[in-house]
Amino acid sequence: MIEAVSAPSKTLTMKQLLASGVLGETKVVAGGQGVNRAVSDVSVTDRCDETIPVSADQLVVLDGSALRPNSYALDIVLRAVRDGGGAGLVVVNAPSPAGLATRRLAERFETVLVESHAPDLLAMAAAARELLLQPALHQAAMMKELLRGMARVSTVDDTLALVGRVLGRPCSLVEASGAAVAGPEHAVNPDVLGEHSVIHPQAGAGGEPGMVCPVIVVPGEPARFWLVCILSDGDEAVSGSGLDLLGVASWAVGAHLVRDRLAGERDARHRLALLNEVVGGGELPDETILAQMATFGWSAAGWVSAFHVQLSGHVDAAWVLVNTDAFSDLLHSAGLEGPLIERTDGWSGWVCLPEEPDVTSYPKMARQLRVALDELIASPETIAAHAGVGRPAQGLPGLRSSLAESRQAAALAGAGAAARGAVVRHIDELGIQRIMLGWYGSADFSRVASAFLQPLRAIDADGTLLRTLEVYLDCQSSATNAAALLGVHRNTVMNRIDRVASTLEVNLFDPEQRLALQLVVRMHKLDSNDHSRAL
Amino acid sequence: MKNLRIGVDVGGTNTDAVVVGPGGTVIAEAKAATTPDPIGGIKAAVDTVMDQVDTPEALGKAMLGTTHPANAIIRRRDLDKVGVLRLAAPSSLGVRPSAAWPEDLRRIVIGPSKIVEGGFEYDGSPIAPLDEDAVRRFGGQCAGSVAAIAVSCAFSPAATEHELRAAELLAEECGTGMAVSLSHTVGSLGLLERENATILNASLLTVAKRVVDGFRNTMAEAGLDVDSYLTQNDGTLMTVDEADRYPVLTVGSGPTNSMRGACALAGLADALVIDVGGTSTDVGILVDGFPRVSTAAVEVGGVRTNFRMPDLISMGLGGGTVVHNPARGGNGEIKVGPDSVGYDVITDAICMGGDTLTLSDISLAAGRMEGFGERSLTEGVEPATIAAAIDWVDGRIAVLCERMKASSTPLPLMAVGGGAHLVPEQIAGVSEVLWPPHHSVANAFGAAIAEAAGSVDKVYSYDASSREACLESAREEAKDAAVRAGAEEAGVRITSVAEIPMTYVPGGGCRVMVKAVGPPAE
Amino acid sequence: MRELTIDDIDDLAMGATLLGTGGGGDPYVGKLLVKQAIEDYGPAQVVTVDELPVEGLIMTTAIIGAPTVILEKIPAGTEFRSGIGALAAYLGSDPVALMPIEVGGVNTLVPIATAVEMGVPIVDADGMRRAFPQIEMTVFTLHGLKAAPMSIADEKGNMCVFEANTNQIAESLARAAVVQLGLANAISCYPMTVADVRRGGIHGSMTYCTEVGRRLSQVQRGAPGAWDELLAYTEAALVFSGKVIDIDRRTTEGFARGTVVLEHLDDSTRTLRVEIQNENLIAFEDGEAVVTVPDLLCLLDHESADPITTEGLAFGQRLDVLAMPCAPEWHRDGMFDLVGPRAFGYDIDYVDGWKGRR
Repeated sequence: MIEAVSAPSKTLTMKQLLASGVLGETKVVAGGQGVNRAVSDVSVTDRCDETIPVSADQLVVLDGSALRPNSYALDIVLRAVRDGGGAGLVVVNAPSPAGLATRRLAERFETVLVESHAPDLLAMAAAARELLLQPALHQAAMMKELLRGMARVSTVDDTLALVGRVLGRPCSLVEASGAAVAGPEHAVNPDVLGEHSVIHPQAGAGGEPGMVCPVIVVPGEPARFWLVCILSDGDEAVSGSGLDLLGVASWAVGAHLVRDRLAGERDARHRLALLNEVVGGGELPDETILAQMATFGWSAAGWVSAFHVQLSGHVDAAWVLVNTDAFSDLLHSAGLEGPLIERTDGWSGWVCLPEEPDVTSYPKMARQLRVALDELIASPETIAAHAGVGRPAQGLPGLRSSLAESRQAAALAGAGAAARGAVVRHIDELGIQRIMLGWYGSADFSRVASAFLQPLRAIDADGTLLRTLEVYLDCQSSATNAAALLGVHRNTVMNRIDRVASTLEVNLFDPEQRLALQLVVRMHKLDSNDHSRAL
Repeated sequence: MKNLRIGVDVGGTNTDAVVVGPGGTVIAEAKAATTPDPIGGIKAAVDTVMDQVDTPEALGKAMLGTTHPANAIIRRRDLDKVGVLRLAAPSSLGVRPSAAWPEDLRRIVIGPSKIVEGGFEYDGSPIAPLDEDAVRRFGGQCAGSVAAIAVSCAFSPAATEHELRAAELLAEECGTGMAVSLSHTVGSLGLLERENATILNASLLTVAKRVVDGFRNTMAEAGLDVDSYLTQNDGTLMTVDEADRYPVLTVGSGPTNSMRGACALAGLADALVIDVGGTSTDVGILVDGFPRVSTAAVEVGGVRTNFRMPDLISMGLGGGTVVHNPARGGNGEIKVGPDSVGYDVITDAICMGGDTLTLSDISLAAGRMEGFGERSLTEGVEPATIAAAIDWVDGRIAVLCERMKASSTPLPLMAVGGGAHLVPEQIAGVSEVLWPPHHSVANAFGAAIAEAAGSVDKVYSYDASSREACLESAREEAKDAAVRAGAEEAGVRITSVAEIPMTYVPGGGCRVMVKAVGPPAE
Repeated sequence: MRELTIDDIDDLAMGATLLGTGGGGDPYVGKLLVKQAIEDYGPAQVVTVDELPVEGLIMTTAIIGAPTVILEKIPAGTEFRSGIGALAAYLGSDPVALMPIEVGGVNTLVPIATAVEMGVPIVDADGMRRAFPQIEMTVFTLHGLKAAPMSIADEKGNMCVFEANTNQIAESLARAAVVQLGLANAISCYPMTVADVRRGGIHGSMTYCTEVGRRLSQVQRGAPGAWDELLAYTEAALVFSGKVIDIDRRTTEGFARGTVVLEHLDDSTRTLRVEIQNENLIAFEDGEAVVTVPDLLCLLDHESADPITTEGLAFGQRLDVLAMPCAPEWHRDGMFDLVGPRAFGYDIDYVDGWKGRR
């Protein structure tokens, strides 16, 4: 249901009507405060008494050719217009301008008084009426064109193009960040993206007015996408009907998105199943797996170097699905060409090389991956990523081992992940750290660590103390370095560490206890990342 | 180059003189006590001011502003007896000349009165042929018994023949020694009012001649070769020869010169002028350099005339106005005026050691006035009384200004007069309040900058020729009249055009009044 | 029978100015005419119709013409007598008394001067108790009384007597004659018997006018309570106090038409439009008539309480607008057609919502 709570009336204002020129050479002689009133209809009269019928928002056009100079009769008509809630009074062909008494009355009534000359008063009124009805007629025509067109388009992009054509203005599909997901790029102010259809005076990031309509993909779920059409200043006249058109289009877009999502999920499930075959080396013989890989366009020929990306933060499988193509493009741009397979918490992928790569090339691949990831998570600040890269190895078995290594590397990268930016580790640079993998993978240790930290978490709702402890330990117990990294005073760090030490009852000057505590902190951080991706 | 002018103003107490150079700059000013005759005072002021002028030979014009004739009427002194002849019979017999005059003035001024056949209809046709025999007989009756004759005639502003012919006949009958005033030369439409003005004019001829001759002689004796003028009610000039004949046209020149002078000294052409005296306050308005004139009938010495006098609104508010019921206990309920101690303010006011609370005391206590009286003497006045009186003053002055203004556009206000200190600095609808510097010579300065004028007041038929043609003809006539009055032709401009449509007249009859003025020709 | 004093005449003239509602001619000349007549012929006697014989003839006289012309062509006095004489000769009967047609404006006083000169009393009654621009606009017309036969006379002995079918035709004939005779003439119309006047006149209007004038003079002198006294006596209401912000004068069809706009002294968004045709006729506020003819619409100087005539209106004047009920004799069949707003070309209804207000 499109709720047009903020949509304006679909009628013209006096100002627009005057500017249109249909009323001839007009002059607002008084009551200019009323020019922003809506005009619903035009009536013509040549009578000047209080009984002339005036309905709400009606513009009264008076044949003034028989008016005496400075006539009281205009006062009476003005009153009738005011009392009937009329939009204003146009006096046509009066032999002399309205007198001061009449002008002052129009000011008092805040009723627009306009003088005009027109050779054919009735023709003028008819033209004005036609113009007033035009928005409704125009909307009907646009709606018809939209509905016909929608029967022939099958993609989101085509639907957007159709809406853009009907409205005469480009239309985009944006996500919550305001970035365009489909359709032309136009920076949108994310604050205007809400639950309702609106015409917002500052929908564009540059302060342009625009129409915004949420796209409901799954009823009941909050909107994740919006149709946005940026307007220029003179577009008020069509915006009312435009919003309704967007509403209709949003259903079509929503339907396309649901369909695309279902298809994407199905494909992803197939890919994931195959990947599990690759990694697991289960019942299927390698030849069969390779054949199936070929149907997806995958290859494990030559030297294969795998990577694994883990996402954390406000992220879910749908987000992964939607962003797979974008990430794929980013990887391509970064120089990494190869399959990319959606997982619930990220992606796996690999590249194939004809020759065995030099060991010195390992950091290069990690760097390329980081560039792509940094780009991917740049705009939604709520998402973090870390990744691991496996060593190159040959053929399908090589792919298998490289994939395993990439996951190990990713796990370790996650343990030491920074607050911002992607951390990418190559298995080869981990060295001794791999010893820790056993620990990190142990559920028992995880429970111990969690129980041990419980007293600290109880007094540390926002995680400040834990974060301070982590940085302090990483800085080799240097309060000065930790303070610089955290952007606080050294004494603050010392105070916090003292609180941690007393809360946890540990002695940080004892190397044994310090090592244990660091392990516990790492483990906890891994766990937290795991929790956040639990779906 | 004769590019200097001298302006002289004869006031009640002082006679001021000012010499003005090109562009209206004040070259010299002087003050002397007014003498009863008033020539002595004029002479003293002129001599003093000319002593300060290095090039007396550059003096080309002398302008005199005097309230002497006005005072003669008000004080009923030195007035001549006048024979009154009206050319209008058989019309107008229902109201005889001097019908509504104050008895004392009538006794002094009015001699034989007669309404004879003559005069004109609105369309210029004669009411009756002029009864020349009756005019002669009237002349015979007047000869030897009166000093002057006033002749009025129905519709003479539009048709002058009968008055001119009557003047000839009277001259034949009484000799050229008999002064004759003709109504079309001194007044506009409105027979009774014009007749009154003509009678007053005739009765002032001797007084005026003395002043005018005295002025002329003073100039001659001072060795000044100048053209001499007097200023009229409307702030324009007439030559001394005209002043000899039309002295009544000077009776309202006092306030006019004061307003024009004060504003010109401040460089303003459009302003309100407030003159706060000891007893009363007058507010007038200057539009395009001239006072707006009143549409209502103006009484001079109790006689109704139709002079176009400055439109002044007066109110009983002055430095000597008495403040009653000063609050004890401070509820601030007071009554101000309308009585005033007048010029006795210098002895009776509390700040001067007297025991009457006046607005001057209030002004001093409220910090509006300095240099008058002893402020400490007013310390006993309740602050609530001061505040209430100041509120009253500000309210009244604001109302006066509001009434005078012709539009909502804010105008500057010139505050003049001995009580000008009472005028607040901020008044609604007034852009700024100015207390002009050279104010002591404002009247004389006003006289010095007076211009020559001509006017027309006639009934036109807009159907006979178009409205535009009629107005054009009236404008041309007014301009010609201004040039005849001494204005430089190139500088003549129309300052007012008024049309009063005539009811019942199907031919589009309209009374048109046009005035043109211009600087006097060099 | 009562004698008019000089003080009465001043009060009467003041009242006549107010009842003239801006027009009706300046009573000043009329006052001078009366004073001179009393000076020359003795005092004026005022009678009520009850003091006169029922079959006696009552005649009227008035100035008809253009106010601006009358300023120059002061009446001779003779024109009124000759007009009455001509009509009396036509009717074959002399009047037992004179009566004003309109008590309001200059014609309140003119017949007094003539009555004094003729040595007949003046009747304390009239046909309008205000001023109207046309001859047929009298309560006499509502009673079916005829304006004709009537006479127009000038001061030179020119005169005409004519019959007219309707009082409207009488008006057009009179107007045509006046243009030919110099625009300042005497008219005598509505010759009636005492019984007719008793049946169809407004009684006590001279007394009313004098009392109104006396009370107004007291207001002008600042007498305590005088204003309330005036309002109470006239049953008037103060409908507006404002400043003149626009005067639009124009002459059409022989009438001085005009529109004056007042801005309220306390609320500058409020304006009052006063429509004038020789007299003040209708006041509009907020596009609605608030006072209409035949009720009286008087403009008084806010400070001095001087009645302001149409000619005397000036920009910036501060005015009080007073509504006064017309004489009750007007309220009968035919009033709206004869003197209601539509009779003056205003397509609106008579209103009396202001009555009872203060």
